[in-house]
Amino acid sequence: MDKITDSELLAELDKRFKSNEQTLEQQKNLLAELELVNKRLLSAEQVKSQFLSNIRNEIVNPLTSILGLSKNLKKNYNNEDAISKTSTLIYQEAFDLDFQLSNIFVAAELEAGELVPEIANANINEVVKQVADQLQHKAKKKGITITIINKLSDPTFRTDAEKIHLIISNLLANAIEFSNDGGAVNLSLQTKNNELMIGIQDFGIGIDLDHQTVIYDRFKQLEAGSTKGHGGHGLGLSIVKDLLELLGGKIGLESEVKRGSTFTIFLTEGDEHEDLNLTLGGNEFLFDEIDELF
Amino acid sequence: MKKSEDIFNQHYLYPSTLFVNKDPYKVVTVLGSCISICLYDKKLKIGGINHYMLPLWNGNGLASPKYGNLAIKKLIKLMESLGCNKKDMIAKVFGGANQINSSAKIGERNIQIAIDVMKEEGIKISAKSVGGTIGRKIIFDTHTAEVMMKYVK
Repeated sequence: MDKITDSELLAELDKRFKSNEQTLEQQKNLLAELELVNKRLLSAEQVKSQFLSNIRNEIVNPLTSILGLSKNLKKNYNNEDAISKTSTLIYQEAFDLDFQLSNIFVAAELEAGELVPEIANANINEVVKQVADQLQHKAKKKGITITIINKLSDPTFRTDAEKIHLIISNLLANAIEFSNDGGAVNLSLQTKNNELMIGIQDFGIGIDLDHQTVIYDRFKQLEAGSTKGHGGHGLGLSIVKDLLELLGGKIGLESEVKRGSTFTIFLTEGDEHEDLNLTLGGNEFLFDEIDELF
Repeated sequence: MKKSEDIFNQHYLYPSTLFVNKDPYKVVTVLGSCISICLYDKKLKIGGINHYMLPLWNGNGLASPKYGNLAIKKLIKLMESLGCNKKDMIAKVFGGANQINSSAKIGERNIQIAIDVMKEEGIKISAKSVGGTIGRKIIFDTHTAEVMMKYVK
């Protein structure tokens, strides 16, 4: 066996030491990356579980009420008064449940990119009145009066009535939620230069400037703190914003803390794209029309 | 008289939505600074298309295909759910025009994310018409991958 000199041994040791150091450095970097990914996953996980626990309340609470109330109904089958009262309550709880579920399903459809507008002639006065009637029971619980200030003289507007219904429902439900007991909520309708404006005004807690930009974020109310103690899954306004965008509309907000908030939605009339047949027509027409083929 | 092959399924693609179907469709969409990526599986002859408005999802709004990074991944996933395979896919990219007075250069950023994600996913961009200042109307044939394009002012 060859003899290894001390200096050779030292050089080899130094080399190995250095390569170890390098590996260590690489491992450190990898670890840092992993930690970052882990952090992101953790925060995503937190958002998800907060959301789940929140919708749990939104779903389980009305469901528990419905179960209890229907049991009552069974007990009081020969008391007409009780039957009428209980069935009204059951309807209201079922309505709430339906509303929350609609929001969750619409959010899922929006995230899947599957939701498309269905444009037809809509009677806007009717849609707004229907929403106001449906949320009357929520307002009543807090002694809040809902007033439709001005209706449209010509209420026909080409848009997706069902989506407008959900948009106004969310805004009105929020207005009621964040109003003080015994307060008022006003709905106003007007058209100007083919643009429809629907205002939802409350005189409740209001939103400070810092929060005005983040309220449309998904699940934001969970983190905001200032709105803690209020119900909801934190999806409402993000759905409103995305639905409006889908319909070619937008939303504006004027708000002052302790004075209240006015959300206004702006909408232009939608196209149905039923003329697709004409545009696509026969193939000759197409080839005349196009600039380039890929 | 219309020939039978003139009759086809049609779909108008709204911004922030996706469309994939195993049946042949002609998909129409209109693009300004938005981008549409037409994906096509050459083996199965299935096409899919997205229409995104902004490059990146910031984690705050709904995680919808309004954002390029999500819209592209979601489209690939949808295609894969119909049995398509990334290695058989080609992509055609359209849109990303910049409005003259826009400083945000959303069109450019939208184009970049398309190129980046396609590279990352290993899908070849076989054709593209992007950038400029004029909008585009495209008709994508999901069965043949053919795209007819017209500039729109």
